[in-house]
Amino acid sequence: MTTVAVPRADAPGAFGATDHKRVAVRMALTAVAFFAAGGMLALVMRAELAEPGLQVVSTGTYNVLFTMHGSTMVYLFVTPFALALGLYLIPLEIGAAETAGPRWALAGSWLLTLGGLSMYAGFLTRNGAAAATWVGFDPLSDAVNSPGEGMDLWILGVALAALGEWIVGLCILLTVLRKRTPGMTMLRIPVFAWAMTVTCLMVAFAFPALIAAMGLLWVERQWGGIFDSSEGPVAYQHLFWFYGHPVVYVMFFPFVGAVAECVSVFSGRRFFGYLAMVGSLLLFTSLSMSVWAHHMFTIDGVTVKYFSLLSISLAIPAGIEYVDMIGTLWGGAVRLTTAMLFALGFLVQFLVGGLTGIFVGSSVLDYHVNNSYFVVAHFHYTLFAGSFFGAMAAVYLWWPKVTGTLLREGLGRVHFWLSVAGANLTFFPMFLLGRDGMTRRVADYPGDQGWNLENALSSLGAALIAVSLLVFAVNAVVSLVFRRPAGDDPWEGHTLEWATSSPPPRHNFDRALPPIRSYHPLYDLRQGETGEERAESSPESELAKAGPEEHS
Amino acid sequence: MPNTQDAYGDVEGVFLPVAVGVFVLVAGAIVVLALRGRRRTDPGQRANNVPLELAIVAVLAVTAAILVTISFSAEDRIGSAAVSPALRIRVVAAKWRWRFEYPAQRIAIQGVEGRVPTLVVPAGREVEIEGVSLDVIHAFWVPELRFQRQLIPDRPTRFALVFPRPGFLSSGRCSFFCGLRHQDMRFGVEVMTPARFRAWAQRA
Amino acid sequence: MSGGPLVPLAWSALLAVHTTVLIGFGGDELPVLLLGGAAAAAALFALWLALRRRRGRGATGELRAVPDVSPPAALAAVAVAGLVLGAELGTWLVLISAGLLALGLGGLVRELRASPTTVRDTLRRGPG
Repeated sequence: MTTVAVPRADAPGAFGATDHKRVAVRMALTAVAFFAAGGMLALVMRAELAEPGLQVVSTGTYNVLFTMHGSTMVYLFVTPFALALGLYLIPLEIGAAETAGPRWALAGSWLLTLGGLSMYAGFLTRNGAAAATWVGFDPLSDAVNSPGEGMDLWILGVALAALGEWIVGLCILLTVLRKRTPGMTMLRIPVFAWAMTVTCLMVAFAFPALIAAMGLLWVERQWGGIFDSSEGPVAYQHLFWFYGHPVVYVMFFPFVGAVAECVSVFSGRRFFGYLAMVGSLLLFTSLSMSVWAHHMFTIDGVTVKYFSLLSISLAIPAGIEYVDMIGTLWGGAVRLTTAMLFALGFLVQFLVGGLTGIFVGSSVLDYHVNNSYFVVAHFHYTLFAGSFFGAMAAVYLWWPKVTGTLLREGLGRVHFWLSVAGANLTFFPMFLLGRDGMTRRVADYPGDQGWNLENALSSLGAALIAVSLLVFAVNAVVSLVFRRPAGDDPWEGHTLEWATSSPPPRHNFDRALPPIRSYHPLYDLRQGETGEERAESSPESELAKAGPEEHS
Repeated sequence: MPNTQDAYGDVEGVFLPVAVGVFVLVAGAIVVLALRGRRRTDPGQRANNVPLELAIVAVLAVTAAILVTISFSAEDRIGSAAVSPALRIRVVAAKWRWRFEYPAQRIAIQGVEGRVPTLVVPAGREVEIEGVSLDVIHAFWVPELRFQRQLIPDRPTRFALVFPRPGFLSSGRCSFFCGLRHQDMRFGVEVMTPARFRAWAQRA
Repeated sequence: MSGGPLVPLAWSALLAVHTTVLIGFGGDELPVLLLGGAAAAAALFALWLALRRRRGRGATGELRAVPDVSPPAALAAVAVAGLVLGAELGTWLVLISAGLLALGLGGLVRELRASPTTVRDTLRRGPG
């Protein structure tokens, strides 16, 4: 008989539970709450921009809106949600009973929440919340140009949130590197686990730059002397973007990993090109650490050619990953579950974001479209039409494991198609606006530039996105109230998290694990049971079999 | 002469078709495979194909190299200081106005409350611009010329521009968020024939 | 050398290559320091992992029995946040937070003393 851990609704538990699954769920729910707040800010922004003229908010308020929208989405929603996915799933996928450093993860999760609250506390101050963009560019963010406690609370809040994320990221990294069950070598962990590993490498070695930037900015505001030389503003940008580029990949790779799991499970095939995928993940993330100054092409004196060369080179590992996804789909017995729909949507839409990323990787092209709506479109295609769709794929895939119940497929399809319509209607017109000369971070635009139609369409799209999210909310509530038990493995999954109950017990596995001989142990088990063991010899399966029988 | 419009056009002329082509190919493959796969009940077993992957890496690397070469070659034609400018202008940005100074001609044009300034330049001549900010970071962007630069306090930046044809460009603006009235920080550009420009410079 | 330390080491090597190329392109001091610093840090991390393994600590089979609920850990986090925010909001918050931090750390020490340091992993390898 399997014991199912039902989360108890007790106060000490909610506050101080060390079970990585409970910490992760709380982190995810907190992230979603912040997402709702950040999303509402965006809806007000799009309401304002739907027509020329200031109808909804003042310019000053608008500047707060986009600052807090961007800050919320990056620092308080996507990054924490991605880390929460990893914190929940990694111990399960590698056969561990716990995360490494459970109390550290618990502490980190609270630093995150408190950091976020501090940022929002700015709304309660006299000068209002921060309005110096999510980057906090110096000198705009210094004491002269952004006076008041709201800016300080934002700075300290970002630092606290980043510290919490850094700690949780390290826990996940150490879990993968040190707590794998016997038999699970690094080349037998799931693709999602590799995605989280490289994600957390970036968290470990790039996030301290943000904490440093915030600390230095705070000191600058109290006593000066940090960024006030002529090279100060440029130095700030180097320090910030050294974090600011890797973070967008932190907000991307966990969802690529989730999509990889979806594509393989819902094609009924092992993931294609596992070794190539591992290599490309390592290359991709190392490049991601090295391209940051492509955000600074328009500064005189930046080593433009280096950063442009490496940025365009990102196409190589990205291309390999797409080949692997396509290779997995090829010859697959495809089941178009909602999770799979979102995974496919991610692949198609992220491609737009990725290709326009190569576009702005050319310094010459960036000299025009930098800071325009073209860039806004690019990063919303990667982060929303991309990562958020990937996050929805992850949610629909792993919801049964976390909650023990199934989301409704009918509602899921409505959610999916509304999201596709909303995402593309909102963000595609922005490519045209930017190329045509509309700069970003403006509360209003002249009515005679020919931008009115695109802006109106974009705002309509935003409303559609909001509706799509309501559909999902309904789906979530329905699935929790009118429960349909999911069982251990509703999808015929390939990886270890499906070899335990839904939800898993306190220490994840209360039964013996299947033998680990590959990155798809449950698939192997199923093949063995149906007697369809195909004797296929491939480099990585040979490599995996030949590896030592210990964990690392 | 550094023609930023042409440089942009040359690069976009390659990057955009390549992007569209790749998108159609890859997105098409994904959609087709997903739809075809619905009818299949017996999935294939192959989990890798090393020669194929290596071939695709090679194609990607070559494509990236071509794109980089094209971009670098355009980069070399623009962006740096002027070789032999016909005119030097100093652009000063401050919250939230523009000031254009013509040192040799002793002219200064400044925007005032409610009135956007107009930068006056000769057509078809190399104009060297030295830009600086007096307070926060701003950016000088002329969308028709496909070019912008950050203007940073105490850190002058120099670049050369050519305005190809006479006419009026209405799109000049600050493109780096600089606070409350960032969106109002605009300027026009009056591109005159060289003869008219000379006359204007003497009269002013 | 097996899996664990190899990953950050390989990654560090890639970062080192990127740093070298940056220097070749004439990168400025700060960018080179940032990227080279990350490469060095990742290598040091790999070294630390390798050393910890060799000393036999932290193998998979080892579990420190962590209590199901750890209010001191959460309290310590709240206290750290309070210390940081107290720099902005006032000395009163710094003092209260320092007190809470002492409480939290004390509670953690008590938890660590009360738990045995090695508990056999309950996971066993499956048959076959």
